[in-house]
Amino acid sequence: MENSIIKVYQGKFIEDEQDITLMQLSRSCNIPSKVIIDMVEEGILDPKGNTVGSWRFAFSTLHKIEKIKRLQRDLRINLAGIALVVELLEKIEMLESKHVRWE
Amino acid sequence: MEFKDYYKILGVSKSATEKQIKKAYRKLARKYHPDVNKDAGAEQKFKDIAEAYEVLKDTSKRKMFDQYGADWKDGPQRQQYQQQNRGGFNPRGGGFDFGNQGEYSDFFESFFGGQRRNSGGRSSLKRKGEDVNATISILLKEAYTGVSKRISFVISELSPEGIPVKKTKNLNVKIPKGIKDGQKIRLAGQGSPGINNGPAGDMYLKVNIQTDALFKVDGTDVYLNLPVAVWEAALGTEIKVPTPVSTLKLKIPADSSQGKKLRLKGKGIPSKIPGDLYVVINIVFPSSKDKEALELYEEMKKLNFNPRVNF
Repeated sequence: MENSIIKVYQGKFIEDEQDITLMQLSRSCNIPSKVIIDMVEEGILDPKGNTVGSWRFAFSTLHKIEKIKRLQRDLRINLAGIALVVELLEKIEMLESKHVRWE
Repeated sequence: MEFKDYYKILGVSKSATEKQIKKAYRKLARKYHPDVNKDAGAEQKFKDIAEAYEVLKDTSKRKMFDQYGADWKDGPQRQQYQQQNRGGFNPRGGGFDFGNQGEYSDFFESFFGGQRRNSGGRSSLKRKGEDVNATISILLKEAYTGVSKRISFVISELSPEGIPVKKTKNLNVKIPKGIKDGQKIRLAGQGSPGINNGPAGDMYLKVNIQTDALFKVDGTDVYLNLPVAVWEAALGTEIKVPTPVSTLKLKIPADSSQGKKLRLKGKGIPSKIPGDLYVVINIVFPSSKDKEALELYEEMKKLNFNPRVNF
């Protein structure tokens, strides 16, 4: 079952990855762009650019959408609920990392 | 293979109604969802809960589990059941219908058979493989220098029959120097393979920096608590100070007060914008149980010194 690879892979920091368009995001995440637009309107995602066509999403959005998909599927939370959950989770993560540092 | 008591997992009685089961599942799912609960055991617990619900919410599966659960190995209807139900059910419906990353226990698979996760209609669709997440922890000094680590993680791929199988993948990953605590690295195309020639998913590696006995980390800045004798702080001195990767000589200015921070520019984590190393003065003094120290303290009493001048 084990598949060993000796090659050393050099990863890339997510922050250094290029921004992506709505179409790219929709394709990579296998979800319709309409759903992504809903997420932006709900304030869960915050792309740069003023018009839908010029929207550019940070690469880490891919990651965020995967999380949203899991929450929606497993806990049946709607987008408004997810917006709150995501915000609270980010806050907890921030507070916990501070707590660990200064403990 | 371990027997799983699905009732016990959901904390419901054998006579629980569908409503009670649903309620118990929802409650536990919220508590143990791996996106919400970061405890090490949460993910496994969530999988167990999802699996238990998968069985107990389905009348025919529940009936079969009730009848043969305890001696599941030789349930006479098992094979028949498996034949009837093979293929075509989506274990966790609802929400968007995405590829499923749920994995069932061996117990479940042997009881209900290997099930196809995706309904047949979409089987020719080209789809990107699942992204895989993993966490690794490194030493602070490795964040300074960069390090190569061997990681192993589980990906899922479809067998020719369309049944998902788990596979362990090992990779040697180079973690670049200058990484911050909690920063994520993407390894493009190292996740689960794509479906129907779709592109492979990506591997996301979250890098945690282990807590260090001497140093504390805040972003790219690093803090060192430096114990200094009261006269060293008062008179000033030069002290050899450790950094996570070397030792350097640090000049402590006279009249350094408690908690004062000395900033060593660029000696923090060497990211693109390197962090700083802060040396925090922590004044310590000998115990008055020491006779000589006691005499000196008594002598100091003669000083005209009021520490609470602002009160």
